Amino acid sequence: MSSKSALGTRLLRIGIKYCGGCNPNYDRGALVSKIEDQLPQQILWVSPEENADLIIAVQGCPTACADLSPFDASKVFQIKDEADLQPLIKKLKSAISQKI
Amino acid sequence: MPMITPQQYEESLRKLNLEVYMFGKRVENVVDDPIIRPSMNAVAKTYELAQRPEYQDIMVATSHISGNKINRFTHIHQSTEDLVRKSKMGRLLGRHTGCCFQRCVGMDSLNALSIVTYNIDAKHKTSYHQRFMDYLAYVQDNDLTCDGAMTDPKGDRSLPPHAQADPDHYLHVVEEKADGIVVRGAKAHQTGALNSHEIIVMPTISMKKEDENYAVSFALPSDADGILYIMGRQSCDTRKSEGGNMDQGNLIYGGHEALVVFDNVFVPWDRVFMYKEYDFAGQLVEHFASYHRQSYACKVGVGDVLIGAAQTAAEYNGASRASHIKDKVIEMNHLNETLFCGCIACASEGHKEPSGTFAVNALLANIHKHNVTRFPYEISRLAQDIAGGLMVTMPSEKDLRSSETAKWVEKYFKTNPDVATEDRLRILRLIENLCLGTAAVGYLTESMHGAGSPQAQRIMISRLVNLKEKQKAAKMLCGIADDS
Repeated sequence: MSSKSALGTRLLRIGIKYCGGCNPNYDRGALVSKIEDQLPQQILWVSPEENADLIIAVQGCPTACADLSPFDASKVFQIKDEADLQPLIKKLKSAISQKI
Repeated sequence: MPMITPQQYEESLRKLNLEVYMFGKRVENVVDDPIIRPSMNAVAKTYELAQRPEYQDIMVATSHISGNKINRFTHIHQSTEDLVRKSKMGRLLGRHTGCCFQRCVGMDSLNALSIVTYNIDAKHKTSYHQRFMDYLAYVQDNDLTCDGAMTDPKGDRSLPPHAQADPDHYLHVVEEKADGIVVRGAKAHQTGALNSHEIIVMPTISMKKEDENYAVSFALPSDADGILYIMGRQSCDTRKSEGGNMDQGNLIYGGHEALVVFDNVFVPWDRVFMYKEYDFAGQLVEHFASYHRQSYACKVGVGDVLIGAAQTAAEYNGASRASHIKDKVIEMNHLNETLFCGCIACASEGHKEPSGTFAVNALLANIHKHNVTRFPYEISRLAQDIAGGLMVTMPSEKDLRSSETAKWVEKYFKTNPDVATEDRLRILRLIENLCLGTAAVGYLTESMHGAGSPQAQRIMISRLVNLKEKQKAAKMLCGIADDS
């Protein structure tokens, strides 16, 4: 994962909030790695409790039970399936261009 | 220090001075003993997953005492969502370890005591609840693993505790002192006892006035003076000490049980949570049993492993496309997910007790556990059907490595050219482990008898269902006047 750097403020700050992973339909960690692979040098992983530009809720199944109550709902993007990855990448690219 | 790492957990166990016996000898180094070590690894997993963000939504809770983030295994359930997360935690850890991870019994003891100490105080004007809350804060602050010790040896089952030929067949008070009590007896089948920092003792059955010396609940450090442990044997247990890395099936994790003897053990008053309030013994048993019957959510996770192993064996054998194999895998999943339904349902239908603790729906928890006494056996039967007889006839790992026999083992146990013979043998050893070996203790016989044998659930089911209301519904539909 990207480390914090002097460029940190120009990168899109993303917090990952996982569900608990009791019975996931896909490899949640591998999917998060793909996000980074597809957006090299454009995002910065931060703790979801930090000042994140947005939160990606990585839900292992459609139940989507991750507790999102601490977060501003307008900043939360949900992934419930691997098929949600590419639409999410598009949204992230849009958010990155807006930030720049 | 609200949550510790698996490394800190292991180091904390090394500081304990447990008196442990196995195969007739004192075990000097409990943590590193090859037969015991896998069970420690399984408990350590409960600490590891709580450190990892991808599991924290289940593994971590917020203490209602301190507001700190704590391991869910030390949490008192504050909502039905907490109860549902507890069920999911069982599946999660069962899948990650493929065995019993031993820590649920302490969690269930803590939750049951949080309810019953409050209720005892309400009736008898005692002060157990505050004592218990102080103890709970200590457990949470130090992220301790607790053994919940309920099952007495019980002697002659037809007799109550006070009438036993040997009074020690149920743990009891033998002396009252100014600063505490002295107890004697034993607790049998104690899962994870050697991996625990604390032992929480509870009575094992409902009691009457004559049994008041047996109506006692308390907590002690696991290495308190006078406590000793005798390890239980498991099928194929010595494979873990053979030095290989295949024949034990599960290379990393396991479980254990022990007989825990209390030989005139002193308990200070601040660790006593019930003392002769025999009228609450049954209530404590029932609350603990209901929580612990819910905890058999873990078997769903172990079932996930066995289903995955059976499918893999079928693919390695070139049989996975056969319709009857597909149907058997479907049946295994049907049974396993039915178990998941039960543990989620009893949690979702939970309720708040006067103490503030949320309890599971007792009827549904008993239904769930009753299914657990049956379904893993059928899942295991189907797994063995799919695996084939080689699971129990194949040569040892040493024969696979021997210069004299390796070529024959390789040649004659080869199936698909793309599958390494060793991989085929490994998956079969895992299935053997779960169905017949050390893990079958947890997946099968513990499923039968742990948290109460099947008849215990049937008694509870008969007590908890409302037959009159069902009769009323039936009579109304067919025009019979309700005379009840």
